[in-house]
Order: sequence, then structure tokens, then C-alpha cells
Amino acid sequence: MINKRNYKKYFSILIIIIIISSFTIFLISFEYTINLQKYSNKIDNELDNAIDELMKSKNDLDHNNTKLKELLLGDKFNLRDPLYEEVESFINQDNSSTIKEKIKNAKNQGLNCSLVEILMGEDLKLYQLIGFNTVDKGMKYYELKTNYKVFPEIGKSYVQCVFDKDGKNPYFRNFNDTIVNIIVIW
Amino acid sequence: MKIRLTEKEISIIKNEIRVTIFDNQEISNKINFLRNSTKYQKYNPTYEQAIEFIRNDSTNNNSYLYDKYNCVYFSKDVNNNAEKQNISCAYLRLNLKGNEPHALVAFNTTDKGIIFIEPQTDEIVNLQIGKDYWAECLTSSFENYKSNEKNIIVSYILYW
Repeated sequence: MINKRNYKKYFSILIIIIIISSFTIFLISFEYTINLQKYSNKIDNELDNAIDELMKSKNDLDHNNTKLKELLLGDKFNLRDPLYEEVESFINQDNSSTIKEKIKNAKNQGLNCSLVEILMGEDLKLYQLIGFNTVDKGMKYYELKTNYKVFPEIGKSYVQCVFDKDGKNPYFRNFNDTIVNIIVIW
Repeated sequence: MKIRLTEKEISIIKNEIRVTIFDNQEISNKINFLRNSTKYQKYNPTYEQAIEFIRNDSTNNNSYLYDKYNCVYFSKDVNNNAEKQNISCAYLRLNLKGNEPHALVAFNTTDKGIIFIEPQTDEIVNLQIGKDYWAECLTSSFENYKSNEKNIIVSYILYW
């Protein structure tokens, strides 16, 4: 049987254990709270930096978009050599039935372009294209109705210079189509 | 009050920043290309300016070679020389009744309307459909030219 003296002893030990445990729990939770606060501050700082950077980038983007729009403006009297991307976009959207109309439409949008006359074979058969001197990819030539890209070279067969969207030659040669000259009329 | 975000959300924002910076770079590149590109401020000349340009242009002194330097080349050169000086000029393709098409140039003058110029002789052409181009439309240089039905103008196309 536990006597009164022993009981007191055990009770004191228990109290000490409870005090130590409570203190330890307090310390751990305090440490945890401090760490959580530190982590939270770090996240807040990162977030602030990220938002600042995002705002700056978005402002730059807006500013540059405005500049780009200004540079893209034009009409038939205010022309400029276009970007390749603009030419592709124009070619894919324009449904002109004649080269004359296509040139007119491009120029009305401020895109400088040329009438290109390809002379082929011994009888100098004429074929007309539209040409653009793009600022990023140099001269680009297109057929009127098919929108095929043409890379004309003197001495080469015309059909070998034409490429469809898949990069294949869409035509078969059935007459003397050797390119004799390429005439670019701005 | 600050909104607390998770690392995942911050990572989404960072990704958005990367995309924005990339877009911005792409647009900056386009701006640089366009800034460095040639700009053309074309204008329609007065009658006097057109005539002065033609007088000063020496393309008409070139020699005609049937296959190598014919009307197409004369017209191309005059047109491109005018355009280089920002003068709006049209290349004109003339369809004749029997003969091969002919090429000349035109200016839309601000005071006297469209004038047609024969680039081989620098003459002003009185262009009229249904008339013989050489015998009736080009009067001064070709006054002894015999009329030929094959040279009758059927139609023409102006490429501005």
C-alpha cells in the first residue's frame, strides 16, 4: 500500500513532470509560431516582389503594344516593309481575285508590296505574283489564288519553286517553265 | 490585410511573369524590326512634278532589246525610279487586239488627273481604248507609223 509519505513524493514528481511537459510544449509551440511567422513573412516578401515584377512587365507590355500599334499604322501613301507574320496574316485573310486588287488591298493597309512578273520558257510566258520585302525574312513571293509560297530562281523550273502549306511542290511540270527573268515592280 | 498565398499560387504568378516577359521580348523584337524598316511616304505628283521627273529620268536613253530589255523593263525601271523618289507611279499593262501586250507607266497628278507616259520616249500618251496605240495614241514620235489593227487597244490594267 502506498503510504501518505510516498503519495506526496509521487504527487510532487507528477507535478514536476507536468510542469516540465507544459514548458516543453510551450517552447515547441512558441518556436513553431516564430517559424510560421518567418515563413509567412518570406512568402509575403516573395509575393510582393512577384507582384511588383508582374506589374512592371505588364506596364512594359502595354507600352510596347501601344508603340507596336503606332508602327503598324499606315495607308496607301504611308507604306512600310512589313513583318513576315503580317504578310502571312494578310495573305491568309485576303480573297482578292486579281493581283491588282491584292496589291491595292495590301497597300491600303500600309504594307509595301510589289507586282512580280515571272517570265518562263522560250516564249517568255508571263506569270504574276505578289512580293513583299519583309523586314525580318527578306523577299517573300506568293501566288494569287492558291496563296502558295514561291521561291523563284532564274534557270529553275517554276513548279519546283512553288510550295504548298505542307512544304510540298503542288504542281507537275507539263511545259517549259524554266524561269528566264524575275521582274519586280514596286 | 495581406492575402496569404501558397507556394503553388506564387509559382503560378512567377510563370505568368515569365510569359509576360517573353511576350514583351517578342514585341520588342518586332518594334526593333519595324523601327529599322524603310518607311515610304508616297505622294501623287502635280503635273509639273511628273513631267520634271520624267525629264530627269534617263531610262529612255537605254537601248531596246526585244527579249532582254523591252517595254516591260523600260516601264519597270521608270516606275521603280519614281517610287524610290516617293512619287506614286503605276505600271500599266496594255492589251492589244493582235499583238503582244505593251507596258507603260502612269501618274495620278493632283491637278490634271491621270497622265500616261511611254517610257521609251518619255511622251505623254493620249490613251484611248479602241485606238491604235502606236499610230493614234503616240502622235509625235510615231507620226509616220502605219495603222495596224493588231495594235488596237482592247483594255489596260493599272497596277498602283
